Amino acid sequence: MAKTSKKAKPKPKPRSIPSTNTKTNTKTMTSSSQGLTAGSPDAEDAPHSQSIDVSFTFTSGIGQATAVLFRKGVLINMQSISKSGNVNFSEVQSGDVISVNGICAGKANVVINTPTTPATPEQFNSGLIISGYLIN
Amino acid sequence: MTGKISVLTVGLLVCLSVPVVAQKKVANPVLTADSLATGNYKDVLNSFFQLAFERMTSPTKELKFTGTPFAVMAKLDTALLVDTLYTRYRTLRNINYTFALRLDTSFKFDGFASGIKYAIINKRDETVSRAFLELVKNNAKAKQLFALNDLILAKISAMANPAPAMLEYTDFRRGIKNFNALSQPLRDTILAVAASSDATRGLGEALKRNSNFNLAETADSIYNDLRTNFNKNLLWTVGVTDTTYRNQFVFSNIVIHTELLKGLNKFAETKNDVELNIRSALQLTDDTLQLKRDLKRAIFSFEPGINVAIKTKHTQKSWLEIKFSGAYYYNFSELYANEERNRLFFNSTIRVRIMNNIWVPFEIKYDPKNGNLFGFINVRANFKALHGAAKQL
Repeated sequence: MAKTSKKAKPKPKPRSIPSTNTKTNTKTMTSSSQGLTAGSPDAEDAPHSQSIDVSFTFTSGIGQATAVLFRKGVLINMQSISKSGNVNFSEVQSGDVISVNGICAGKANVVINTPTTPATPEQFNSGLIISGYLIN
Repeated sequence: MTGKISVLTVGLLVCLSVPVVAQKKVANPVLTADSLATGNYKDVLNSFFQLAFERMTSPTKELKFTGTPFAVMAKLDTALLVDTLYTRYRTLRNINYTFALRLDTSFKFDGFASGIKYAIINKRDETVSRAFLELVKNNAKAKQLFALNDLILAKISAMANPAPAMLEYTDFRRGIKNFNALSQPLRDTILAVAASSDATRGLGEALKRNSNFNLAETADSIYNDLRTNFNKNLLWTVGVTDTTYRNQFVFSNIVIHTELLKGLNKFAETKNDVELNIRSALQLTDDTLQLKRDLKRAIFSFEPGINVAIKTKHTQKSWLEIKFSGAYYYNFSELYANEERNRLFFNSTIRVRIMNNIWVPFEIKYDPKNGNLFGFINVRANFKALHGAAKQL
């Protein structure tokens, strides 16, 4: 009996584990995740996910800031901004935390367009911006 | 007339000084304070407005208002303060204009003065400097604070009930609570996450050593130290000032001047600032030997000096400044009787800060050849907006 050569099905590839390097550019970008594993929380197709904007307004001087989205201890997304404008996180869930680090030479106003703990807008005087918000 | 002018003078000074006090109670939502700058720096180039009552004890007193065109524009349109527009007006912020009323001993009008000054080099304006932001961003202590914030927030996001921890941590990062005022579980969490990373290990040790650690005060201290050092950078201005006669709107005096200011102890771990201050001017005045009014008398002056600013330990605000300078004068014109072509003076200015933005400089001039000693007392108020403007912004 002739053997039929059967093409082996390729094994499903494991989800890639991106680098732990979380260095950002000064321009808006999406970063790789920190320590993201195959078992990490996935925002794809989550029915309760929402798109949110983190809005930065720098006045009386320039500023820059980096917003990082954490979910269950894992870095999901990181974006930086170097002038007034918005950072958008497309898939955000209740219980996620957004960290905001930055510097403003004048004043800075941070607004997130969804209810958070603590509530926004929050204003910062000239200096370091060190803050964080829990998505309600 | 005398009474009116003196009442007007005192009234104007008091009215414009009121917002300086009031701003402590009502936070200005937009304009930033530059009260950390030395009084000498604010005399060379003002950021917003300055009102000065100069030579109070001299026969010729002067009530002087200094402003920048940008400050007026920003008052009329606060959108100009948003960074995307703010950075476009660097030139206008480097211009100072001055208007002054000259008064005689009985406070009678004795002429009008005006002037304009431009900062050719202004490396002190941190509000538009990307290099300054990078300096702060790359500071080792600032990096540790940023890293700790990320690590703690990542930890909070993994908690089953994150809201109470987030509220408590918010109080900590805002400086409302010191480290030792936090609950034991949060303190332990912060110490654990700080110890888990090389980026924050040093900060974790600092938290263990100092239980009164205040995150907001630490962050402010890091930023203010860097800003203070940045404000020691080079500033070079040029300008022209003119004065009219009391009875005729014709120039009696024109001064073309230049001034340089540079900190000498940048990044030194000393408490006090030492600044190099060099002034030079060419003064054109009326030659009184001639019947006609003219500007044929030319006097050149050169005044190098050192300004020492003594600062408070924690807030780093200078409260006393002492400036020593020499002054050389050369007269290019025909000399009057008993007048010398070259003159040399030793000057000293003592500036005392009596309120947050109000300085009282006392100037002493000594003529070593003739043994003459002259003294002038001034009052200068640096303020950010005219009365009520801060509330409107």
